[in-house]
Amino acid sequence: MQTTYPQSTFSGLLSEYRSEATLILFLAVAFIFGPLFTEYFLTPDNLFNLSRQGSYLTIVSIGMALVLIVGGIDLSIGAVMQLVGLFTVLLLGAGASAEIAFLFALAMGAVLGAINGVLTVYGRMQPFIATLATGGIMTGIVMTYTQGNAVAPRGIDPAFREIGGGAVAGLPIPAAIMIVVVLLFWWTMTNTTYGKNVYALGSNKHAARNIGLNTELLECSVYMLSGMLAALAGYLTFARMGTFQPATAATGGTPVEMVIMAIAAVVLGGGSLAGGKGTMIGAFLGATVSAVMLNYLVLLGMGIWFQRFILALIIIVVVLLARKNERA
Amino acid sequence: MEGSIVLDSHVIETNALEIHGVSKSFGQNNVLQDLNLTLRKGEVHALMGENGAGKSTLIKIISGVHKADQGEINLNGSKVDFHSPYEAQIGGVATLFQEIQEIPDLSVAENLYAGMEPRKHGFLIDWKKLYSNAQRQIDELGLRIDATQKMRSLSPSSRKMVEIIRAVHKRGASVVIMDEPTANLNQGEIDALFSMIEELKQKGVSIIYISHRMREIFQIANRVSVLRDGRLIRTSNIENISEDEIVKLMVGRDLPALYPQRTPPENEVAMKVDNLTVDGELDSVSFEVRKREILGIAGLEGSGATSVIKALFGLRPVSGGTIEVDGETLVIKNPKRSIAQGLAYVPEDRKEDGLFLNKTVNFNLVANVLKSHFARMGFVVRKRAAQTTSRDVVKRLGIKTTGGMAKIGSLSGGNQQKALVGRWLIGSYKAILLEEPTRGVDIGAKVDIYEEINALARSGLPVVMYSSELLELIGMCDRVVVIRNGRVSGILSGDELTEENILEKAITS
Repeated sequence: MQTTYPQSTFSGLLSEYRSEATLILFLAVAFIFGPLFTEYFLTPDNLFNLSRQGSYLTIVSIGMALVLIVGGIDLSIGAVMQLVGLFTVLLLGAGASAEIAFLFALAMGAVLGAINGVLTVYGRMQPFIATLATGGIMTGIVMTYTQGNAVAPRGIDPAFREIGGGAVAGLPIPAAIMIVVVLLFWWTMTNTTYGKNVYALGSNKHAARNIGLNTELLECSVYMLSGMLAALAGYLTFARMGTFQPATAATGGTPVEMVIMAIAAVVLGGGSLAGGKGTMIGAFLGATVSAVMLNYLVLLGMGIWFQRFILALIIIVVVLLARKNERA
Repeated sequence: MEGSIVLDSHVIETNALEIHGVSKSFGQNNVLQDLNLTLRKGEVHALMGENGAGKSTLIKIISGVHKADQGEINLNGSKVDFHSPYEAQIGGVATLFQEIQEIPDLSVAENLYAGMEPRKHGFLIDWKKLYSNAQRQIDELGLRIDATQKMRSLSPSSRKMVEIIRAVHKRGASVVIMDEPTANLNQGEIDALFSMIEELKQKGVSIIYISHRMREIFQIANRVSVLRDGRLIRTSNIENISEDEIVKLMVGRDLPALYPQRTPPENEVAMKVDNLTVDGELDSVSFEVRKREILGIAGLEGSGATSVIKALFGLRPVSGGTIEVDGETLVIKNPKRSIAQGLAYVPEDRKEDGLFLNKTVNFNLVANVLKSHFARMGFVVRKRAAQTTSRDVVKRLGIKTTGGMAKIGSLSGGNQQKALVGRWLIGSYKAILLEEPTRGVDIGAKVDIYEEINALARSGLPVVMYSSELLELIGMCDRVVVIRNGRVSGILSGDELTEENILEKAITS
C-alpha cells in the first residue's frame, strides 16, 4: 500500500486558499490601477483614513466569521455596536476613564453575545431568529432612550477621542487594534485547541460531540466572542466621534447594513452560510476589499446608494467565481 | 416472399446491456480502463470489487451521472448516450443509489408515485386511488408500512424499502442497478427485496447488483463480475466460482483469513452493565465483559440493540442501571464525560456522526486527543507532533491517501472507516465501544479493521461491538448478547454461536 505525504506545493496551497488568493490579487489590481483614476487614492491621508474606516468592519467580520464557521449567524452585531456605544458614552459622561469604559464595553459585549449564545444553544432557537430579535431589542433601547438624537456629555476623558482619532507608529489606533485582533484570532484558530475545536464543531456537530467536545459551551463561546468584537468595534467607532450618534445611513450605515457588510466580507473571504468554512485571514481580506472598494467609489464621487449597488454586484461576481473554481 | 428477409423471424436474443471498452479518468487517476461487460436479459449480475475498484464510477456512467471518456454502451441492442440520470430513467435504466433520495415530508404513497400520481378529471390527483394502490403494493410484499405515513416517520430501513419499490416498480425499467441495497435492512426486508428481485427476473428485467455481502451474492446472483483497479478481472457463472476465489480476485493477492486469530479472554471482568434501562428502548439490560473479550450485540431493527452502545456512551437518556468499568461506577451523562472515564466510541454512521468530512485526514485522526496529547498548557497545539502521530496511524492502518493533508471526504469508504477506528488508537482507554465497525467497507479494509479490533482486545481491553452482520459477530466475538424488545433474550457463546441461534433469539418470543 503506497502512501504519500503532504506536499505543501504552491499549487496545493493556492487551491486550499483560493478565496484569499483571489482577494489578494484583487487588492493588488486595485492598488496598481486605482491611482490612474483618482490620484488621491494612494495619498498617505487617504490610506490613513481608509485603514481606520476598514478596521471597524474587519473587527466585526472576524466575529461574524467565527459564528459562520460553526454554522450560525449573528444579526445583532450592528445593534451591539450601538447599544454598547451608547452605554460607553453615558459611562464616560458619568466620569469614568477611557480605560474603564473600554473594559466595560468588552464585558457588555460579552454578556450580549452570551445571551445570543444561550438563546441559540440552550433555548434551541434558530440563530437567525434569536439574533434578529435581540438585535431588535437593542436597537429599540437605543432609539427609545435617545429619541434619535445624539448623546454628547461634557467633560468626558479626552483619551477616548485620542483612541478613536489618534495614531500609533503611523497607523490609526483603531487600525493597530484591528491588526492585533486579526493576528490574535488567526493564531488562535490555527494553533490552539480552541480553534481546532471550533472548526470541528462547524464541520460536524454530531461528530464533535462524539469525540468528547462540549459543543454547547463551544457554540456559546463563539457568540460571546462575536458580541465582544462588535462591542470593540462600537467603542472605536464612537471614540472617533467622541459622542454617541444613533446609526443612520449618514453616520456610516445602519446596524443592518453593518451586518450585511460583515457577512459579505466573510463570504468574500471564503466563508459559507452553510457553516464549516472560513478563515480569519479570509475575513480580514474580505473586509479590506469591501473597505477599499467603498473608499474608491467615494473618491470617484459616487453617491452612497450607488456605492451599495456596486458593492453588491462585486459580491455576486466574486462569490460566483469562487463557487465555479470550487466545482472545477 | 422469396428473396426478402423476414426480419421478424430473425429475432436474436439480445443482451440487455453491453459495455464496450469503456474508460474513464479523473485527472491523473484512471478509474476505468477498457472495460467490457455484458448483462443478459433477466439475470442478476453481481458486481464485486474493493472500494476504489471502479464499481461506483461504472454504474454512474451507465446511469448517466458521468460520461465515459471512451467506449460504447448498448442498451437492448441500440447505442445509448445518457447525459443525466433522468435521461437514463426514461431510457429504461433505473438506479438505486446508496443514499436514500426520498422526500421526507410527503407520504409514502406520494413518494412511491411521485410524478406519476393517478389522476381524475385529467389534472386532479386521485388521492383515494393513490393511497389504495400504494397500500396494495406494499401489502403484497408483506411489508408493514402505512402508505399514508410521512416518509420522515419511517425507520431508515422502511424508507429504503419504499425507495426500492419506487425504483423497481415504477419506471418500467429494463435494467435496474442496485448499489448496496441491503446496507441497513433487516432479514425480513432483505427477504422482501429478494422476492421483488425474483419477480423482476421473471419479467425479463436485468439487475446489476452491488454488495459487499458475499452470502447475498451467492443467494441471488446468476453471474458475478469482479473489478480491480478499474479493470474487469473475470466474469463467471456463480456456480463456477467460490467465495474464496472471488475474494482473491478482488484483492489480487492471497488474503489471510477474514477474521483474526483470537486470544481467549481472561476471567477477570472488566466491564459490568447492570439493569441498563432507557425508557421505550431498553429494559434492564445486563451483561459483563471480561478483559480481552469482544462481546457482540445483536438484534433486529427496532429491538433496541442499536441503543445499547449509545446508552453506554451517554447518547441516550439512561433512566436506570449502573455501568462499572474496572470496578468503578461510571457517571453516564454525555460523550465528553464518557470519554473522560475511559470509553472510546465508533458510531455506526461515519458521515453523520463520526468524521469531519471537509477536514484533513490529520485533523480527523487527532481531533479527539488534541487537548490530552498534543497541547502545550492545554491550549497551544503541537502541530508537528500531531502530524507525526497521525502519520503513524495512517501507516499502521494502511490508510490509502495522497497525504495527511488530504480531505478525508475524498477517501474511499474503507479508508474513511479505518480512520474512524484509528482515532482511538492514539489515546489510552478502558473499554472500546463499536457500532457497525465495517459498514459499507470492502474486504481488504475489513480484514485490516478486524485486525485492529483484535489488537485492542489483545492489549487487555474489553470490546463491545454492535453489528447487523451476523457473520461478523460470529467471526469476531467471544460471546453475543441478543436483544429483543429492549431486553436481553439470550447470550450465546462457543458452539451455540450460529446465525440460526442468533436469529431465533432475536425473533421468537
